[in-house]
Amino acid sequence: MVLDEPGSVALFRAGDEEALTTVYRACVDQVSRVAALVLRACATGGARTHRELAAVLPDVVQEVFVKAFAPEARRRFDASRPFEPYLAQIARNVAIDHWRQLQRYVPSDLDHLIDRLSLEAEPDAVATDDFADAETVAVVNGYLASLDEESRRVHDALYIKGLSQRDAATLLGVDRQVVRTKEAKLRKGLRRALARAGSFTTFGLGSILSKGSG
Amino acid sequence: MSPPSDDELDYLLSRGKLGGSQRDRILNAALAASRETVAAGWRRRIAWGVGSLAVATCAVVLLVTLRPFAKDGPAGFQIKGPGDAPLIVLSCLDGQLDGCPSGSKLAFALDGGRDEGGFLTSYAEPTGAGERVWYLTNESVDAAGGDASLRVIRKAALIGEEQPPGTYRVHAILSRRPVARDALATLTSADTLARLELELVVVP
Repeated sequence: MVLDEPGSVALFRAGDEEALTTVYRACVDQVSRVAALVLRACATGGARTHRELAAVLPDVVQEVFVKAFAPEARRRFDASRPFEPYLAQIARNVAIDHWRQLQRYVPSDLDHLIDRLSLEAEPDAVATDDFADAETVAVVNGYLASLDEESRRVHDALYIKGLSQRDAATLLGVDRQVVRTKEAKLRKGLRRALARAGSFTTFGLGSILSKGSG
Repeated sequence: MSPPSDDELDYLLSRGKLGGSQRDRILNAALAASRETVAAGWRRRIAWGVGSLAVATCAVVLLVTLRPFAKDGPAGFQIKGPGDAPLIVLSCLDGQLDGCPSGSKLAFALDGGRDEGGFLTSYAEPTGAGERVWYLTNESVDAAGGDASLRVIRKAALIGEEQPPGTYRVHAILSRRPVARDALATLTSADTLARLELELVVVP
């Protein structure tokens, strides 16, 4: 439970950055799980793809914490109630709000489905192979399986443990620049693997923008 | 199909979750949002200008920037001069702003400025009936480079099914700190680095 240490609520309400960081680190996994679950429930049976979910998920998680950490929200927080369900409710509402803006509406039966979702889902509930279509998952799995040992360790630190570049560098005993470079290579490698699989054509934003001037 | 964004690659690499860098970025945004804002009371100046996206000459937009005066504000928010604020640039990649086809991408960029970066939020309001469409929410923008070159925002917006053909007013706000969507209306001039408002016509 977060905010159960003596004085922690006072520090949270005062906006102490260490207290807020502690809350964030304790809750970000739960918030992203709830957000992903709600977004996927909304997408069930629809034509929306993992690409849109991937684009929306960080926005939703950010919006949740921006709302929860805003000075007025901190002052209003009822400390007699546990923080996690309060945050999960914000996550649910923000995710639905974002999805409605993508879809324009959420059918009422989906509202019912979302209500039934556990807001305290097990961590592994999202870490399955349903995060994208089967073809994309196969490409991702193949790419990850092909990584050398060093890349695998960086991937584990950044994407499994969810550490920042700085913390990953400390864990791995390397310079932060090394982690940054490896992260870029991981993305580039996956982008190439997806291109080879025919998932998209390889051109960057620069060339997209240049099309307009041609 | 367009190439995957860094957010999509991070989503795939973390198998449906958030990557470490994304988490870090979100934490920084949330901490920035948690800080108390300085009381307003600053005067406001509206500056009109015309800008264009240098690498995409297909669109020229009318820009409105909103800046506080230096001498009224506390030291932490002082503006060094009229050239400090960037101009927000919007471009329809597959057409013109007065005729942007459904399915097109809207690219955002910042032109010039000597700011320390911020967060860009953008949405479109239909001039007739309809719902607000969000393009960007607190998209992190790096500090201006020394050469004040164009800063292209890494995330473009897709004009999708949720935005039917019609006329829209597009709003873009560059804020010093992240702002919840429902708090945008109360964003103070002290927290606003630049604003853009223009007409966008979506065509079939």
